[in-house]
Amino acid sequence: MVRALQPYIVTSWHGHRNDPDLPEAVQTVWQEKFAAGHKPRPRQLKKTFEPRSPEEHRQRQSNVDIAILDSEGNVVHWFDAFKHAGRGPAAQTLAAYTAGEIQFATSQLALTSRPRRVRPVVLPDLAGAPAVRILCTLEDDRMLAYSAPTVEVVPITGTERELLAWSSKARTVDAAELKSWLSQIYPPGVMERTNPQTKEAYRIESVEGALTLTPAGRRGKHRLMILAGTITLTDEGSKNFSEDHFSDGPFSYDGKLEILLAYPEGSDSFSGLRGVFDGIYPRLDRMHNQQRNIPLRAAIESIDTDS
Amino acid sequence: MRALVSLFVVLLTTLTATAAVASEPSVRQLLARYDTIRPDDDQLAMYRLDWVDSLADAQDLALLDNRPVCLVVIHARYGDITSGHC
Repeated sequence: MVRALQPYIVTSWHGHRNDPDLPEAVQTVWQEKFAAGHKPRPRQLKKTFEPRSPEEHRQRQSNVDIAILDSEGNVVHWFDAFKHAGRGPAAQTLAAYTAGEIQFATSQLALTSRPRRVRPVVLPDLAGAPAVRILCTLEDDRMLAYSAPTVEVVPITGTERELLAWSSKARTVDAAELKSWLSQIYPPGVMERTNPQTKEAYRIESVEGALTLTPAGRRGKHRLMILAGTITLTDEGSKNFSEDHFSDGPFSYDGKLEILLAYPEGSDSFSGLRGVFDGIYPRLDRMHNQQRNIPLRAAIESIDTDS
Repeated sequence: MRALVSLFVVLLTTLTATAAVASEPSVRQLLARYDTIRPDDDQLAMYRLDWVDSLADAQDLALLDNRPVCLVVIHARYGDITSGHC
C-alpha cells in the first residue's frame, strides 16, 4: 500500500455532515455515500478486483473513507476505508484491499508510468526547532490497528530546560512540569475515550508523579543524568462512561518513566535525551464488559537539539 | 596526617569511580530499552508517504506539482491521521 501511494500527496480531514465549511471533495464523497441512507445488505463474493459501485457503497459503511483527487481537486475515485465481508477475495487483507483501490484510481489518473521509488521514513518535526518526539505503541493483540505507533512532537521550552538543568546532586522533579511531553502518551485509538455529548476525544488533564533526576556518569564529552519514576496520567472523562452513565471516578493509567539526558561539558542545559515509558492501559472491553490491561509503551527522543 | 589525607583521597576517588561505574549499566540498560521500544522503519512505514497537514495545503501543492491527492475522510469530531490518533 505504501508503494501504491508514492505518487500521491496524502492528507486527512475530519468533521461532521452538518459542518458549515465542508470541503468540496468531502461533499462529493458524502453526497454519494449517504444518498440512499444506510442500508446494510448481504454481498456476493468476488474473485477479481472491481471498483465499488455507488450501490455497494451504500450497503455497508464505516466512518472513514479514502478519496482520490486529481491535481485540480476533482474526486476521481473514493471507497470505504474498511473492507467488509463479501468484498473482493475472501482472504484479502485490508492492506491488499486498499492497495487494490489505490491502484485502480492510479490507472484512472494515468499515473502508472510515474516512478515509484519509495521515500525514506521522514518523521514529523518542528522545522528545525528543538523538540521532543514521542513514539507511542499500544500492544493490543486483539486490535492490530492499535499496534501502529503514534508520533507526536512538542517543543522544548526554556522552562523545561531549567527544570532539567545539570546538577551534581540528585533532586526531585514534579512530573506535572513535563505535562506537555508526557500528555502525548495515550493510545492510537481515541474513539473509546470521547465525550458522548461533544464527540470530542478526552485530553490528558493531569500528569502526576515525583521523579528523581540523578547524575549518571558521563559518556565522551557529555555528562549524564537519569530522570526516573512512576507517572500517572488522568484524562478528562470518567472511568466508566456511556451515553447515560457518568460516574465511577476519573480514568487513569500509569507506568514507569526513564529518561537519559546528556549535557555538554560546560553547559547546564541538556543537548539531547532518550527515554522510555512502560505502562499498562486499562482498556474497557465493552463486548464482555470487562477491563483488559494492555501494555502501553513509548520511546521519547529529542530532535534538533545539536545531539 | 599526610598519610591519612592520602588514604581519604584514594578512598574518595575509588567511591566516585565506583559510583560512575555503577551508573553505567543503568545507562546501557535504558538505551537498550529505548532501542527495543522505539518502532522500526517497517512499523513507521506510513511516514514514507508525502504527508501534508491540511487538505487546502495539499490541493495547493497538487496544483503546483501536477500530482494527485489521497484524502482520508473521517466522519468524527476527532482524528489526526498524521500523528496516528484516530
